[in-house]
Amino acid sequence: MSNKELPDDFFKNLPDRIISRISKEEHSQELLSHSKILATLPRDNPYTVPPEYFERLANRKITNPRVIKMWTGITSIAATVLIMVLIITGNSVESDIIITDDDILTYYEDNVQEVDAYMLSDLIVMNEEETLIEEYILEEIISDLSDEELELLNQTL
Amino acid sequence: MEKISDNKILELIDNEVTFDEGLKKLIVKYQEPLYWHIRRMVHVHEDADDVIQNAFIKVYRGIKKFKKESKLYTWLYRIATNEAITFINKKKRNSNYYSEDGISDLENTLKADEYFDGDEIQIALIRAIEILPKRQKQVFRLRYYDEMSYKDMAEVLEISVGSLKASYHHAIQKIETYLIDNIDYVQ
Repeated sequence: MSNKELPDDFFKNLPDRIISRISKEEHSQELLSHSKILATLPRDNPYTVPPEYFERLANRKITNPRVIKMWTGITSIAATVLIMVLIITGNSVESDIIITDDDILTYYEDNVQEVDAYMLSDLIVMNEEETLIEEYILEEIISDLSDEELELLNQTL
Repeated sequence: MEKISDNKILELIDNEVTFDEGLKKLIVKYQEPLYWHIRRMVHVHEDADDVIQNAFIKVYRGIKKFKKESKLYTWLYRIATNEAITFINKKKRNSNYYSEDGISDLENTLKADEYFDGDEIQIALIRAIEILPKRQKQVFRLRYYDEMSYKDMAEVLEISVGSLKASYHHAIQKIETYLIDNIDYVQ
């Protein structure tokens, strides 16, 4: 028989197939020697998954951490500026405070070393239909605020 | 399981340009065995879905630091196992069905689950496993369902081969006794 009649990678995969078969036979023998009941039970998988679950799982995106870091940096700076303004102005603050992009950039230029741009660099898996980054970041920022800061934020919003 | 070798996957991952492709191939190759391993631990599809996503996030974060001292396969199982244990510990605060006391809760959950088709004996087997001590539970699942070698299990669970064999043996004895006591037609 010439090699052309064999499946691709036949010899490459042969050792693994043999080892796998030996391992399965050893396992069956071991199980039989310990428990005839378990050895004879059918090992059908009782669990199922939604249709095409694995096709969809493989296609979910694991987001590049650099994108998250950029979002994190920008959002945390904006939140920090907002909180700083609230703290400085206290209860006398008007409810229509507007933080401009210039404010954010100025704060960024002055305080960039103090901003922990990596605090939310944990990765997020996103479904194609889901864009939860903003929600996730907002939750994380809010969870870092003190009670006083939260109260102040509540009064302003 | 896709036929690409682990070495090829790691080669792709080592290269910045082909990193995403390598990661995708890793997920495609290992998602099913890892999912079923996790599912047998957490039981409910939605929970397994959450855990496997978290596990792949950990893989993504840690793959550059993977030192290749262990097999990729055992490293992935280790991450998946740890993620499932973390999940179970968190869920234990709100539910007791991962314990002997809450075993009927688990049974009710499984019977009501649209993604569970088990019969009486399969439910009994799940119950029998769930009331084992933690280590025996892990060892039994990896050996009985995943047919993992003791050498690989030693890498996943960081337990000596001798201890693993003893744990597996004890687990089997307990499960057999449980099945004989609880299922009429098992003798």
